[in-house]
Amino acid sequence: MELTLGDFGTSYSKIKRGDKIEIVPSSELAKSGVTVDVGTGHNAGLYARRTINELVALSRGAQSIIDEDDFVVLDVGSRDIKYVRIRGGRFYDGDWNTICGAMAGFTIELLLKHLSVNLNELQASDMDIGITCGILGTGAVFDLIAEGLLPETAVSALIRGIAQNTYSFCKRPDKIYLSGGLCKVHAFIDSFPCEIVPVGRFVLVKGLSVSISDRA
Amino acid sequence: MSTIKKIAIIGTPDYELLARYAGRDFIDLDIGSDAPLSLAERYIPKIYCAILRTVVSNTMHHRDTIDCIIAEVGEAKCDGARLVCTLLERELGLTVIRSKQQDKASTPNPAPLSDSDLPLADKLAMIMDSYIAKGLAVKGHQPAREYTVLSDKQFRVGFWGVPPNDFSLLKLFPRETKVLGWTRSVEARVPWSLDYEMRIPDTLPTVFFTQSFCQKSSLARYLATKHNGLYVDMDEKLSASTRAKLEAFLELSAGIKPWS
Ligand code: SF4
Repeated sequence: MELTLGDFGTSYSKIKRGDKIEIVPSSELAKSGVTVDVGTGHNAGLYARRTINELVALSRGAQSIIDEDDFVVLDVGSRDIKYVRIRGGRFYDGDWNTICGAMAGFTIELLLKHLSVNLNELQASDMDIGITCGILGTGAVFDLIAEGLLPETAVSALIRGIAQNTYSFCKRPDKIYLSGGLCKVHAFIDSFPCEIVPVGRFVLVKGLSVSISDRA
Repeated sequence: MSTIKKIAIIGTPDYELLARYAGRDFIDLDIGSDAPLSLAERYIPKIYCAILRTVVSNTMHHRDTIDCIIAEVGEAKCDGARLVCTLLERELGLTVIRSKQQDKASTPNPAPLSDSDLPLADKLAMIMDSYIAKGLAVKGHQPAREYTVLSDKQFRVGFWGVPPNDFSLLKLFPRETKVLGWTRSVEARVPWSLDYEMRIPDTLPTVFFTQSFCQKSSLARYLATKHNGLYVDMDEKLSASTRAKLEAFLELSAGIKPWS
């Protein structure tokens, strides 16, 4: 029997049953009583019988879908950002930013709701605002609005700041394979000073599949 | 109950200074005790190195049982310790005897504990204990436990840095962990030597650890980038996410699974 898998993020969770992957707001999970066989992600301990480390899942998942021996994959989540660099087909280095510089996705979501801004209508900004984390970034956005900028412009500047931070965080590569909820957002992708290749939201779920077949 | 007050130590002061107090009872102020860290907020900011917050809260808590403090405030420790000593001296009326070891040409001693097969937490605790014991010239002092010195090929991972405020971080590492950086330099009796602190084996996957808000974080980050290691900082306690990041690095770079 095929195992059920889950990537339990802070805002959204992806649950794989058979060939189908469902995206569920994480806030609804507790009520739904869902349990999977193998999980990853910040809340995996709550809903999975066995858990696999997120960075391990990202690394395995990316290697299974990217047909290159040398690459960098970056996952930008609601609560954290993480990357893995593969060289010669093997893990070379990686990092996981959970405190300073984190809360990137979550901050964007909060601000979009608060300011009634539509993410998909935003253009990439060319304004440099130095931000270090979600909280300080929020302060910077409110300051820009107080200076007379449109909320859309201020949020785009924040998104650019987050893109620049994540680019430095993964050591400024020429090309990044981008995973996570922001990988279809143009204002984000176009704010990177390097080539971006979106790889979708299911890289970690794919990593779970690979990990369990390796261990089977 | 003994009424003789103790000699308190901060960092790794010069052996000659320590030896003057041979036979006395010591208390290591860098190591956590039952003193709540929040005590320190009376004199230093909350956002500050947890080891120095421990030093201040320990000193306040044990004030009445301390005779004097012998503190390293030179290149073998940090400027934070130098400043904190002045606060303790002024505010708590304690005598502080300062040791200022400078970086100088010196031949490091061997570091068998750093290269041993003991659990990492034991290695670090024994290195710090043995520094004081050797400083007091306790005859025949031997670490309490038996161990084997591993060869370079046997190590699976390196741990670079100072002993953390929360030792639970160390439990994630296997016995085949080579101790590097400042802690190793303490065992080699060159705790002031930046050159020794920067010696990293070429191919060993290494975790570069610092306490949050420590000046050594710049060095740790630099070395982690140069050697493709993992830079980790921690404040008071090991967080779930830092733990996960470490576990991932150990598994992906050295094949060490949390359950292996
Ligand atoms: S951890 Fe860093 S800042 Fe804290 S006492 Fe040690 S050297 Fe000083």
